Amino acid sequence: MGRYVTQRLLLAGLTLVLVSIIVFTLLRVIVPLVYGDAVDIIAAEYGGTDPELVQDLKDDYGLSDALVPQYLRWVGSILRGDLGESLFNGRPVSKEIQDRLPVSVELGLVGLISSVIFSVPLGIAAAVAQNRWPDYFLRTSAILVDSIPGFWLAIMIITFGSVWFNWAPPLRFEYLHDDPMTHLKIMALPALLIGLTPSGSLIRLVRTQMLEVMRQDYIRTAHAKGLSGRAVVISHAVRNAILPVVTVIGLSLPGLIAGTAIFESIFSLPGMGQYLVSSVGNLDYPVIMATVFIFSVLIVLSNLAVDISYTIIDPRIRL
Amino acid sequence: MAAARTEILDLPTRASASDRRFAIRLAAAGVRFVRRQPLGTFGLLIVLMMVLAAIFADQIAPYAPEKQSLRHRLEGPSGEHWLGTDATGRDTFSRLIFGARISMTVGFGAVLISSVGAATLGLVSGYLGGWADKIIQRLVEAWQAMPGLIILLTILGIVRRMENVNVVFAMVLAIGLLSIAGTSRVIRSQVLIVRHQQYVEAARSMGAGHVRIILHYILPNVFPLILVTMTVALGGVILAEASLSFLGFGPAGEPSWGQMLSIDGREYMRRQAGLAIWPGVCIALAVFGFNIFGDALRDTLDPRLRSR
Repeated sequence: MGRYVTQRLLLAGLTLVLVSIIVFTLLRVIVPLVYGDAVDIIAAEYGGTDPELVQDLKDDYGLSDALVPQYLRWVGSILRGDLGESLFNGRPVSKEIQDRLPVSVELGLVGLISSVIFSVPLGIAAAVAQNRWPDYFLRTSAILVDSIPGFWLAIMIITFGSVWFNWAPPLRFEYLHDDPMTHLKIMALPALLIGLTPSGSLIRLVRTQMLEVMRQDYIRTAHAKGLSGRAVVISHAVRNAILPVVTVIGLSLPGLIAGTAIFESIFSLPGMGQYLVSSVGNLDYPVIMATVFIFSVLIVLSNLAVDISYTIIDPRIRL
Repeated sequence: MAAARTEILDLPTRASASDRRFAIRLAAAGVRFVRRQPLGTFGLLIVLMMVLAAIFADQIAPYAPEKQSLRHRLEGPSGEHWLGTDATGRDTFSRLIFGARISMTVGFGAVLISSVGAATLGLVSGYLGGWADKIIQRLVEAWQAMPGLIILLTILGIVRRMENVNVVFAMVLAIGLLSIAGTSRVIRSQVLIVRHQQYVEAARSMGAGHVRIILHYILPNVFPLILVTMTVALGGVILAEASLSFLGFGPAGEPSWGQMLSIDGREYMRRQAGLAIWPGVCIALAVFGFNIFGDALRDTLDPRLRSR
């Protein structure tokens, strides 16, 4: 158990190092090569071409050093919790993220939970009714859900909701602690739509896993000793079918997190994804580097949680 | 089975009799597929339709995709404009046809890159085993845990502003490279099974080198799996392309489904609902087609699933 967790922790560290190198290369090596430094861009936008001033600014931001020290300094400041300031409005990035991170995490978590709550029972129902009409119906719906882009569905709901039912999501965003009811009204639809994305594959996976498990000898034994069908399914089959489902939940996390970026833009929610999308438009590199990095940390942490939850669900892994 | 597949790979050097036998066997497999997998055949038809639309867009589309006609703004469906027009009077049907071109280019291009990369990585890692395998696998796991769409969005946001860079090409490359990791793990696990088979042992005992064993004995037996993962991955890539274009990070100046939804769809859908409906239908149809075709292909080609 200890060795397994250590191994996973090392892997999480490796992922973060890899991501930080990619992000750094992209924004501090490739972008400057193509457009010039961020300082050059800003100076050009304000019509300032005084080379001495530009050089001073570069020295201030530490952009004139060699790349390796720059990288190490950036990593060092992240480790100290200092994410820099936005080049465009001067606000500290960490302050901005403090406000935005809870919005994205709430969207992702509510989405994930609603997805699991819907998909697992439906998958089990499909497996129990194998090759009868509920099974066919659920399988077809699952494939359809897999194919329909969530952002399209969102647009349709917003448009036709307002045309037919005179319903529209509230315009002004409210935080949970300010106005809980309005907050829920705003968040419910995007969260459910985010949860829809992984639901199709989740239903299909739960179904195949259940079918696999239902053919095992211990299920026949359970039937033979006179347990009711329901007891066999619930206490013998589901628990054994759930492990790969946890894997898929883990694998669908990047998608869920990316989903928050899309749905935050559609519903104009002040989350991390919207922050990233608007900063990419401005080439606001401290913000881009910080947000991409935080997204990676989120994924790495949730993968870690999935890995460790294996050891709880499946004792064989604790070797 | 193994011998049969190696024969297929050696095709150019063989006599025409085996060519003909191969053609007959292929046709028979096709007929069997159509008979046993009606849903998969339906998917294949959708896929073929999309591919043909993409290739022959110039011939099929009744109008040039960027041709504006201010007298016919935001019109409903008519004999002249089958699916109506957008805010500057461009023909929606023609734009959808040309949109297929971007979806299919990005889809097939990215999947080609990721399959070649994943096959190489999976074959090498699985065949070598030991320390090399361990190191490669740790890197692959780290690679897989990166937030794909977030990194894509950042890359494309930067690339789009560059001059002389083809955004579609950048998209193909970026999506392709980012999706190598996941696919390579699937292929590696199959390589691990195949490399302990007796015919591989036999080849080795007859003095075949590593490269020959990988290319002639292992690759042909992993190939069906590569085909299946490619087909299934296509749907995902098309969805990723649509999402990126929808967010405004796709190619500008060429019509793509995602971009049609975000610009024309969101602004004018109240006046002309078709602008929001049709691009979405196209995306969903393409993804649906590749998904059910891929599923059927897996049922047919993956021996482990054949009995189910």
